[in-house]
Amino acid sequence: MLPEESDFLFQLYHQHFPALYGHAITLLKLHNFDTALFQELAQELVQDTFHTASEKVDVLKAHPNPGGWLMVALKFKFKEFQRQAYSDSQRLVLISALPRDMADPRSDVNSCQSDMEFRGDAALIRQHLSPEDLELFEMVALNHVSHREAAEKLGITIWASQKRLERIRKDLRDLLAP
Amino acid sequence: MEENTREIYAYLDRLSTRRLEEMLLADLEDDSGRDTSQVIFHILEVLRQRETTPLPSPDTDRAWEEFQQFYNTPEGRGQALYPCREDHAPTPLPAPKCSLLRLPVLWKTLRIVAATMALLLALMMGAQASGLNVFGTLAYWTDEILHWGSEQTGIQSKNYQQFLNLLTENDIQKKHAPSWYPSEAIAGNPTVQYSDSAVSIKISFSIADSGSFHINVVRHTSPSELESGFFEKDYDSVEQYLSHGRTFYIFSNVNSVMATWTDGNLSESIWGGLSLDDIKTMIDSLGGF
Repeated sequence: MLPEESDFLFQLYHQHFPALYGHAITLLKLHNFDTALFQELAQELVQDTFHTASEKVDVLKAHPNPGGWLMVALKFKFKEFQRQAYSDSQRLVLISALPRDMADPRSDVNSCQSDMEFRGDAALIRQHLSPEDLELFEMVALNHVSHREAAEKLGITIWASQKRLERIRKDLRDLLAP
Repeated sequence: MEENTREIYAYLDRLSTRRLEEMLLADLEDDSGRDTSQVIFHILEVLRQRETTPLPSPDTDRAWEEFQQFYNTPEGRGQALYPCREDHAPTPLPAPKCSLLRLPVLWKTLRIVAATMALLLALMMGAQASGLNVFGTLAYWTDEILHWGSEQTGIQSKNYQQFLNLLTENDIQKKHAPSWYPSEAIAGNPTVQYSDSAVSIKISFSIADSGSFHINVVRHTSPSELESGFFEKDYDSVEQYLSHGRTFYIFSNVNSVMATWTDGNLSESIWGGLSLDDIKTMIDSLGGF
Protein backbone atom coordinates (compact mmCIF):
# COMPACT_ATOMS: atom_id res chain seq x y z
CA MET A 1 0.00 0.00 0.00
CA LEU A 2 1.33 3.39 -0.94
CA PRO A 3 1.96 5.89 1.87
CA GLU A 4 -0.84 8.18 0.74
CA GLU A 5 -3.22 5.21 0.58
CA SER A 6 -2.16 4.21 4.08
CA ASP A 7 -2.81 7.74 5.31
CA PHE A 8 -6.18 7.73 3.59
CA LEU A 9 -7.12 4.44 5.25
CA PHE A 10 -5.99 5.77 8.64
CA GLN A 11 -8.18 8.86 8.25
CA LEU A 12 -11.11 6.80 6.99
CA TYR A 13 -10.79 4.36 9.88
CA HIS A 14 -10.74 7.02 12.60
CA GLN A 15 -13.56 8.95 10.97
CA HIS A 16 -15.97 6.07 10.51
CA PHE A 17 -15.04 3.32 12.99
CA PRO A 18 -17.30 4.60 15.83
CA ALA A 19 -20.38 4.84 13.63
CA LEU A 20 -19.77 1.46 12.03
CA TYR A 21 -19.21 -0.12 15.42
CA GLY A 22 -22.46 1.45 16.63
CA HIS A 23 -24.25 -0.02 13.63
CA ALA A 24 -22.80 -3.48 14.21
CA ILE A 25 -23.72 -3.41 17.89
CA THR A 26 -27.25 -2.23 17.03
CA LEU A 27 -27.71 -4.99 14.45
CA LEU A 28 -26.58 -7.59 16.96
CA LYS A 29 -28.96 -6.13 19.54
CA LEU A 30 -31.86 -6.22 17.10
CA HIS A 31 -31.09 -9.90 16.52
CA ASN A 32 -31.32 -10.56 20.26
CA PHE A 33 -27.62 -10.76 21.04
CA ASP A 34 -26.63 -9.54 24.48
CA THR A 35 -24.50 -6.64 23.32
CA ALA A 36 -22.53 -6.56 26.57
CA LEU A 37 -21.24 -10.04 25.72
CA PHE A 38 -20.73 -9.66 21.98
CA GLN A 39 -18.78 -6.41 21.69
CA GLU A 40 -15.79 -8.32 20.33
CA LEU A 41 -17.98 -9.84 17.62
CA ALA A 42 -19.29 -6.40 16.67
CA GLN A 43 -15.76 -5.05 16.51
CA GLU A 44 -14.64 -7.96 14.35
CA LEU A 45 -17.41 -7.30 11.84
CA VAL A 46 -16.12 -3.74 11.54
CA GLN A 47 -12.48 -4.84 11.36
CA ASP A 48 -13.34 -7.20 8.52
CA THR A 49 -15.13 -4.33 6.79
CA PHE A 50 -12.01 -2.20 6.95
CA HIS A 51 -9.89 -5.13 5.87
CA THR A 52 -12.00 -5.38 2.73
CA ALA A 53 -11.72 -1.61 2.36
CA SER A 54 -7.93 -1.81 2.63
CA GLU A 55 -7.91 -3.94 -0.52
CA LYS A 56 -10.07 -1.41 -2.36
CA VAL A 57 -8.37 1.78 -1.27
CA ASP A 58 -8.05 2.99 -4.84
CA VAL A 59 -11.81 2.60 -5.32
CA LEU A 60 -12.59 4.34 -2.07
CA LYS A 61 -10.29 7.27 -2.74
CA ALA A 62 -12.27 8.03 -5.87
CA HIS A 63 -15.67 7.33 -4.30
CA PRO A 64 -17.96 10.29 -3.54
CA ASN A 65 -19.20 8.68 -0.33
CA PRO A 66 -16.62 6.34 1.26
CA GLY A 67 -18.57 6.29 4.53
CA GLY A 68 -21.61 5.05 2.68
CA TRP A 69 -19.53 2.43 0.94
CA LEU A 70 -18.31 1.20 4.32
CA MET A 71 -21.82 1.12 5.75
CA VAL A 72 -23.12 -0.99 2.88
CA ALA A 73 -20.10 -3.28 3.17
CA LEU A 74 -20.78 -3.76 6.88
CA LYS A 75 -24.39 -4.59 6.11
CA PHE A 76 -23.35 -7.34 3.73
CA LYS A 77 -20.75 -8.59 6.21
CA PHE A 78 -23.48 -8.92 8.82
CA LYS A 79 -25.72 -10.78 6.41
CA GLU A 80 -22.85 -13.14 5.61
CA PHE A 81 -22.38 -13.69 9.35
CA GLN A 82 -26.06 -14.58 9.54
CA ARG A 83 -25.79 -16.91 6.55
CA GLN A 84 -22.78 -18.71 8.02
CA ALA A 85 -24.50 -19.14 11.36
CA TYR A 86 -27.62 -20.51 9.70
CA SER A 87 -25.61 -22.83 7.48
CA ASP A 88 -23.77 -24.20 10.52
CA SER A 89 -27.06 -25.03 12.16
CA GLN A 90 -28.41 -26.97 9.22
CA ARG A 91 -26.54 -30.11 10.13
CA LEU A 92 -25.47 -29.84 13.70
CA VAL A 93 -27.39 -29.88 16.96
CA LEU A 94 -25.97 -30.51 20.38
CA ILE A 95 -27.38 -33.83 21.40
CA SER A 96 -27.02 -33.07 25.09
CA ALA A 97 -30.08 -30.81 24.98
CA LEU A 98 -32.35 -33.69 24.07
CA PRO A 99 -34.21 -35.68 26.72
CA ARG A 100 -33.83 -39.40 26.28
CA ASP A 101 -37.52 -39.98 25.68
CA MET A 102 -37.77 -37.49 22.84
CA ALA A 103 -39.04 -38.73 19.53
CA ASP A 104 -36.61 -38.94 16.67
CA PRO A 105 -37.52 -35.87 14.63
CA ARG A 106 -36.62 -37.78 11.51
CA SER A 107 -39.51 -40.12 11.97
CA ASP A 108 -42.93 -40.11 13.51
CA VAL A 109 -42.14 -43.07 15.75
CA ASN A 110 -40.60 -42.97 19.20
CA SER A 111 -37.66 -45.29 18.99
CA CYS A 112 -34.77 -46.22 21.19
CA GLN A 113 -32.88 -46.93 18.00
CA SER A 114 -33.10 -43.29 17.00
CA ASP A 115 -31.17 -42.44 20.13
CA MET A 116 -28.49 -44.89 19.08
CA GLU A 117 -28.39 -43.33 15.62
CA PHE A 118 -27.76 -39.94 17.16
CA ARG A 119 -24.93 -41.30 19.22
CA GLY A 120 -23.47 -43.06 16.23
CA ASP A 121 -23.24 -39.81 14.32
CA ALA A 122 -21.86 -38.03 17.35
CA ALA A 123 -19.12 -40.62 17.70
CA LEU A 124 -18.37 -40.39 13.99
CA ILE A 125 -17.94 -36.65 14.18
CA ARG A 126 -15.81 -36.86 17.29
CA GLN A 127 -13.59 -39.39 15.53
CA HIS A 128 -13.36 -37.19 12.46
CA LEU A 129 -12.66 -33.82 14.08
CA SER A 130 -9.58 -33.29 16.14
CA PRO A 131 -10.10 -31.86 19.63
CA GLU A 132 -8.65 -28.55 18.41
CA ASP A 133 -11.03 -28.44 15.44
CA LEU A 134 -13.97 -29.29 17.66
CA GLU A 135 -13.00 -26.56 20.08
CA LEU A 136 -12.66 -23.97 17.32
CA PHE A 137 -15.97 -24.93 15.75
CA GLU A 138 -17.81 -24.75 19.05
CA MET A 139 -16.28 -21.38 19.88
CA VAL A 140 -16.76 -19.55 16.60
CA ALA A 141 -19.59 -21.35 14.79
CA LEU A 142 -21.82 -22.24 17.71
CA ASN A 143 -21.01 -19.70 20.42
CA HIS A 144 -20.17 -16.75 18.12
CA VAL A 145 -16.83 -15.99 19.72
CA SER A 146 -14.81 -13.68 17.49
CA HIS A 147 -12.00 -15.15 15.41
CA ARG A 148 -9.59 -12.90 17.28
CA GLU A 149 -10.60 -14.31 20.66
CA ALA A 150 -10.55 -17.87 19.32
CA ALA A 151 -7.18 -17.35 17.64
CA GLU A 152 -5.71 -15.92 20.81
CA LYS A 153 -6.91 -18.90 22.81
CA LEU A 154 -5.63 -21.41 20.29
CA GLY A 155 -2.34 -19.62 19.66
CA ILE A 156 -2.94 -19.11 15.95
CA THR A 157 -3.53 -16.12 13.70
CA ILE A 158 -6.98 -14.83 12.83
CA TRP A 159 -6.57 -15.87 9.22
CA ALA A 160 -5.42 -19.33 10.24
CA SER A 161 -8.55 -19.57 12.38
CA GLN A 162 -10.69 -18.47 9.44
CA LYS A 163 -9.10 -20.95 7.04
CA ARG A 164 -9.31 -23.75 9.57
CA LEU A 165 -13.00 -23.06 10.13
CA GLU A 166 -13.64 -23.12 6.38
CA ARG A 167 -11.97 -26.51 6.18
CA ILE A 168 -13.96 -27.83 9.14
CA ARG A 169 -17.20 -26.70 7.57
CA LYS A 170 -16.31 -28.36 4.28
CA ASP A 171 -15.31 -31.57 6.08
CA LEU A 172 -18.59 -31.65 7.96
CA ARG A 173 -20.56 -31.06 4.77
CA ASP A 174 -18.79 -33.99 3.13
CA LEU A 175 -19.06 -36.17 6.22
CA LEU A 176 -22.76 -35.62 6.78
CA ALA A 177 -23.88 -35.51 3.17
CA PRO A 178 -26.75 -37.95 2.56
CA MET B 1 -24.17 16.63 12.11
CA GLU B 2 -24.38 19.55 9.70
CA GLU B 3 -27.28 21.91 10.27
CA ASN B 4 -28.89 21.36 6.89
CA THR B 5 -28.82 17.58 7.18
CA ARG B 6 -30.05 17.85 10.76
CA GLU B 7 -33.14 19.63 9.47
CA ILE B 8 -33.63 17.15 6.67
CA TYR B 9 -33.59 14.21 9.07
CA ALA B 10 -35.39 15.93 11.96
CA TYR B 11 -38.43 13.71 11.30
CA LEU B 12 -36.44 10.72 12.55
CA ASP B 13 -36.35 12.24 16.00
CA ARG B 14 -40.14 12.11 16.14
CA LEU B 15 -40.31 8.41 15.38
CA SER B 16 -40.47 5.87 18.17
CA THR B 17 -37.41 3.79 19.00
CA ARG B 18 -39.21 0.70 17.84
CA ARG B 19 -40.05 2.27 14.53
CA LEU B 20 -36.44 3.30 14.01
CA GLU B 21 -35.28 -0.22 14.82
CA GLU B 22 -37.77 -1.61 12.31
CA MET B 23 -36.29 0.70 9.71
CA LEU B 24 -32.81 -0.61 10.45
CA LEU B 25 -34.00 -4.18 10.06
CA ALA B 26 -35.78 -3.34 6.83
CA ASP B 27 -32.60 -1.76 5.51
CA LEU B 28 -30.70 -4.92 6.36
CA GLU B 29 -33.10 -6.90 4.19
CA ASP B 30 -32.58 -4.54 1.25
CA ASP B 31 -30.18 -6.31 -1.11
CA SER B 32 -30.24 -3.69 -3.80
CA GLY B 33 -26.94 -2.21 -2.67
CA ARG B 34 -28.50 1.24 -2.50
CA ASP B 35 -26.64 3.61 -0.27
CA THR B 36 -28.97 4.40 2.61
CA SER B 37 -26.05 5.38 4.81
CA GLN B 38 -27.22 8.94 5.45
CA VAL B 39 -30.53 7.79 6.89
CA ILE B 40 -28.87 4.97 8.80
CA PHE B 41 -26.25 7.26 10.31
CA HIS B 42 -28.97 9.61 11.53
CA ILE B 43 -31.10 6.79 12.90
CA LEU B 44 -28.10 5.46 14.83
CA GLU B 45 -27.41 8.93 16.20
CA VAL B 46 -31.00 9.30 17.41
CA LEU B 47 -30.90 5.85 19.02
CA ARG B 48 -27.57 6.61 20.65
CA GLN B 49 -28.96 9.79 22.18
CA ARG B 50 -31.94 7.87 23.57
CA GLU B 51 -29.87 5.09 25.09
CA THR B 52 -30.30 5.15 28.89
CA THR B 53 -27.40 2.79 29.60
CA PRO B 54 -25.05 3.21 26.68
CA LEU B 55 -22.18 0.83 26.16
CA PRO B 56 -18.70 2.34 26.46
CA SER B 57 -17.53 4.04 23.29
CA PRO B 58 -15.01 1.95 21.39
CA ASP B 59 -11.35 2.80 21.73
CA THR B 60 -10.69 3.65 18.09
CA ASP B 61 -6.94 4.02 18.55
CA ARG B 62 -6.65 0.60 20.15
CA ALA B 63 -8.93 -0.88 17.50
CA TRP B 64 -6.67 0.59 14.80
CA GLU B 65 -3.61 -0.99 16.42
CA GLU B 66 -5.38 -4.33 16.56
CA PHE B 67 -6.45 -3.89 12.94
CA GLN B 68 -2.86 -3.37 11.87
CA GLN B 69 -1.54 -6.16 14.08
CA PHE B 70 -4.12 -8.90 13.52
CA TYR B 71 -6.25 -8.16 10.45
CA ASN B 72 -4.32 -6.03 7.98
CA THR B 73 -1.52 -8.56 7.52
CA PRO B 74 0.00 -10.17 4.42
CA GLU B 75 -1.60 -13.47 5.47
CA GLY B 76 -5.02 -11.89 5.13
CA ARG B 77 -4.49 -10.62 1.61
CA GLY B 78 -7.42 -11.68 -0.58
CA GLN B 79 -9.22 -13.16 2.42
CA ALA B 80 -12.30 -12.10 4.34
CA LEU B 81 -13.88 -13.37 7.51
CA TYR B 82 -17.31 -12.59 6.07
CA PRO B 83 -16.95 -12.43 2.26
CA CYS B 84 -19.46 -10.16 0.61
CA ARG B 85 -20.46 -9.51 -2.95
CA GLU B 86 -17.98 -7.66 -5.13
CA ASP B 87 -20.74 -5.51 -6.52
CA HIS B 88 -21.97 -4.18 -3.20
CA ALA B 89 -20.32 -0.82 -3.71
CA PRO B 90 -23.02 1.81 -3.71
CA THR B 91 -23.58 4.09 -6.62
CA PRO B 92 -22.94 7.79 -6.04
CA LEU B 93 -25.84 9.56 -4.34
CA PRO B 94 -27.26 12.97 -5.00
CA ALA B 95 -27.52 15.38 -2.08
CA PRO B 96 -29.60 13.98 0.76
CA LYS B 97 -33.31 14.54 0.43
CA CYS B 98 -36.06 14.31 2.96
CA SER B 99 -37.44 10.88 2.28
CA LEU B 100 -38.44 7.97 4.40
CA LEU B 101 -37.05 4.58 3.64
CA ARG B 102 -39.65 2.90 1.48
CA LEU B 103 -41.12 0.15 3.61
CA PRO B 104 -44.36 -0.79 1.91
CA VAL B 105 -44.41 -4.28 3.37
CA LEU B 106 -43.67 -3.04 6.89
CA TRP B 107 -46.37 -0.38 6.81
CA LYS B 108 -48.89 -2.87 5.46
CA THR B 109 -47.97 -5.29 8.23
CA LEU B 110 -48.37 -2.58 10.86
CA ARG B 111 -51.79 -1.66 9.51
CA ILE B 112 -52.86 -5.30 9.57
CA VAL B 113 -51.65 -5.71 13.15
CA ALA B 114 -53.51 -2.58 14.24
CA ALA B 115 -56.64 -3.74 12.46
CA THR B 116 -56.38 -7.19 14.01
CA MET B 117 -56.05 -5.80 17.51
CA ALA B 118 -59.03 -3.50 16.97
CA LEU B 119 -61.08 -6.48 15.78
CA LEU B 120 -59.95 -8.53 18.77
CA LEU B 121 -61.04 -5.80 21.14
CA ALA B 122 -64.38 -5.52 19.39
CA LEU B 123 -64.90 -9.28 19.68
CA MET B 124 -64.00 -9.17 23.36
CA MET B 125 -66.54 -6.45 23.98
CA GLY B 126 -69.18 -8.41 22.07
CA ALA B 127 -68.46 -11.59 23.99
CA GLN B 128 -68.60 -9.77 27.31
CA ALA B 129 -71.93 -8.20 26.37
CA SER B 130 -73.33 -11.64 25.53
CA GLY B 131 -72.57 -12.91 28.99
CA LEU B 132 -69.15 -14.55 28.65
CA ASN B 133 -66.78 -13.47 31.40
CA VAL B 134 -64.04 -12.49 28.99
CA PHE B 135 -62.60 -9.85 31.25
CA GLY B 136 -62.77 -12.17 34.21
CA THR B 137 -59.68 -13.90 32.93
CA LEU B 138 -56.35 -12.39 33.72
CA ALA B 139 -55.22 -10.19 30.87
CA TYR B 140 -52.04 -8.20 30.68
CA TRP B 141 -49.99 -6.54 28.00
CA THR B 142 -46.31 -6.79 27.40
CA ASP B 143 -44.52 -4.74 24.79
CA GLU B 144 -45.48 -7.10 22.03
CA ILE B 145 -47.71 -9.90 23.25
CA LEU B 146 -51.18 -9.97 24.74
CA HIS B 147 -51.28 -12.62 27.42
CA TRP B 148 -54.45 -14.33 28.52
CA GLY B 149 -54.36 -16.45 31.58
CA SER B 150 -56.53 -17.88 34.26
CA GLU B 151 -55.98 -19.75 37.43
CA GLN B 152 -56.02 -22.99 35.41
CA THR B 153 -53.92 -21.88 32.47
CA GLY B 154 -51.02 -19.55 31.89
CA ILE B 155 -47.80 -19.01 33.74
CA GLN B 156 -49.73 -18.27 36.93
CA SER B 157 -51.09 -21.81 37.05
CA LYS B 158 -50.21 -23.82 40.12
CA ASN B 159 -48.36 -26.49 38.14
CA TYR B 160 -46.25 -24.01 36.21
CA GLN B 161 -45.37 -22.17 39.40
CA GLN B 162 -44.33 -25.52 40.84
CA PHE B 163 -42.13 -26.05 37.75
CA LEU B 164 -40.49 -22.69 38.39
CA ASN B 165 -39.95 -23.58 42.04
CA LEU B 166 -38.30 -26.87 41.06
CA LEU B 167 -35.90 -24.96 38.84
CA THR B 168 -34.95 -22.66 41.69
CA GLU B 169 -34.59 -25.53 44.15
CA ASN B 170 -32.12 -27.16 41.77
CA ASP B 171 -29.99 -24.04 41.24
CA ILE B 172 -31.51 -23.18 37.87
CA GLN B 173 -32.58 -19.58 37.41
CA LYS B 174 -36.20 -18.96 36.44
CA LYS B 175 -35.01 -16.97 33.46
CA HIS B 176 -34.47 -20.30 31.73
CA ALA B 177 -38.21 -20.97 31.78
CA PRO B 178 -40.49 -19.42 29.17
CA SER B 179 -42.66 -16.65 30.57
CA TRP B 180 -45.24 -17.36 27.87
CA TYR B 181 -46.89 -20.39 26.42
CA PRO B 182 -50.17 -20.82 24.48
CA SER B 183 -53.01 -19.72 26.68
CA GLU B 184 -55.15 -22.72 25.88
CA ALA B 185 -52.51 -25.15 27.12
CA ILE B 186 -53.07 -26.91 30.42
CA ALA B 187 -49.89 -27.53 32.43
CA GLY B 188 -49.42 -30.94 33.98
CA ASN B 189 -47.48 -31.83 37.07
CA PRO B 190 -43.77 -31.14 36.65
CA THR B 191 -41.29 -33.94 37.25
CA VAL B 192 -37.64 -33.99 38.26
CA GLN B 193 -35.13 -36.74 37.61
CA TYR B 194 -31.71 -37.06 39.14
CA SER B 195 -28.76 -38.94 37.74
CA ASP B 196 -25.04 -38.99 38.46
CA SER B 197 -24.41 -36.36 35.81
CA ALA B 198 -27.52 -34.25 35.57
CA VAL B 199 -30.74 -32.93 37.02
CA SER B 200 -33.63 -32.91 34.55
CA ILE B 201 -36.83 -30.97 35.18
CA LYS B 202 -39.72 -31.45 32.81
CA ILE B 203 -43.26 -30.20 32.45
CA SER B 204 -45.83 -31.32 29.90
CA PHE B 205 -48.81 -29.45 28.55
CA SER B 206 -52.00 -30.61 26.88
CA ILE B 207 -53.88 -28.67 24.23
CA ALA B 208 -57.28 -29.65 22.95
CA ASP B 209 -57.07 -30.83 19.31
CA SER B 210 -53.29 -30.27 19.18
CA GLY B 211 -52.02 -32.92 21.51
CA SER B 212 -49.23 -31.94 23.81
CA PHE B 213 -45.92 -30.22 24.17
CA HIS B 214 -43.12 -30.33 26.70
CA ILE B 215 -40.40 -28.21 28.27
CA ASN B 216 -37.29 -29.85 29.64
CA VAL B 217 -34.43 -28.08 31.43
CA VAL B 218 -31.29 -30.00 32.31
CA ARG B 219 -28.47 -28.89 34.58
CA HIS B 220 -25.35 -30.91 34.01
CA THR B 221 -23.47 -31.38 37.25
CA SER B 222 -20.13 -31.78 35.56
CA PRO B 223 -19.17 -30.38 32.14
CA SER B 224 -16.82 -33.31 31.68
CA GLU B 225 -19.81 -35.62 31.99
CA LEU B 226 -21.69 -33.73 29.32
CA GLU B 227 -22.91 -36.09 26.67
CA SER B 228 -22.48 -33.76 23.80
CA GLY B 229 -22.52 -34.71 20.23
CA PHE B 230 -23.98 -33.98 16.89
CA PHE B 231 -26.41 -35.58 14.59
CA GLU B 232 -27.38 -34.94 11.07
CA LYS B 233 -30.69 -33.25 10.52
CA ASP B 234 -32.92 -33.05 7.58
CA TYR B 235 -31.76 -29.99 5.68
CA ASP B 236 -35.18 -28.56 5.15
CA SER B 237 -36.32 -28.75 8.72
CA VAL B 238 -33.57 -27.13 10.75
CA GLU B 239 -33.47 -23.48 11.57
CA GLN B 240 -31.15 -21.52 13.75
CA TYR B 241 -33.03 -19.02 15.87
CA LEU B 242 -31.10 -16.41 17.79
CA SER B 243 -32.78 -14.94 20.84
CA HIS B 244 -31.32 -13.16 23.83
CA GLY B 245 -27.84 -14.18 22.80
CA ARG B 246 -28.70 -17.86 22.64
CA THR B 247 -28.73 -19.98 19.56
CA PHE B 248 -31.72 -22.25 19.48
CA TYR B 249 -31.86 -24.96 16.85
CA ILE B 250 -35.40 -25.54 15.68
CA PHE B 251 -36.30 -28.54 13.61
CA SER B 252 -39.55 -30.09 12.68
CA ASN B 253 -41.13 -33.11 11.13
CA VAL B 254 -44.67 -33.69 10.00
CA ASN B 255 -46.25 -33.74 13.41
CA SER B 256 -44.06 -31.82 15.79
CA VAL B 257 -41.49 -29.11 16.21
CA MET B 258 -38.51 -29.06 18.54
CA ALA B 259 -36.20 -26.31 19.75
CA THR B 260 -33.06 -26.97 21.70
CA TRP B 261 -30.24 -24.95 23.26
CA THR B 262 -27.27 -25.60 25.50
CA ASP B 263 -24.30 -23.70 26.90
CA GLY B 264 -22.47 -26.75 28.18
CA ASN B 265 -23.84 -26.49 31.72
CA LEU B 266 -27.52 -26.06 31.01
CA SER B 267 -29.64 -27.51 28.26
CA GLU B 268 -33.18 -26.68 27.33
CA SER B 269 -35.65 -28.26 24.96
CA ILE B 270 -39.17 -27.36 23.94
CA TRP B 271 -40.97 -29.83 21.72
CA GLY B 272 -44.35 -31.16 20.70
CA GLY B 273 -47.49 -30.03 18.90
CA LEU B 274 -46.61 -26.36 18.63
CA SER B 275 -46.51 -24.03 15.69
CA LEU B 276 -43.22 -22.48 14.70
CA ASP B 277 -44.54 -19.09 15.73
CA ASP B 278 -45.56 -20.34 19.15
CA ILE B 279 -42.26 -22.03 19.83
CA LYS B 280 -40.38 -18.89 18.81
CA THR B 281 -42.61 -16.78 21.03
CA MET B 282 -41.83 -19.12 23.92
CA ILE B 283 -38.12 -18.82 23.18
CA ASP B 284 -38.35 -15.03 23.05
CA SER B 285 -40.14 -15.03 26.40
CA LEU B 286 -37.15 -16.56 28.16
CA GLY B 287 -35.69 -14.18 30.69
CA GLY B 288 -39.11 -12.75 31.44
CA PHE B 289 -39.03 -13.85 35.06
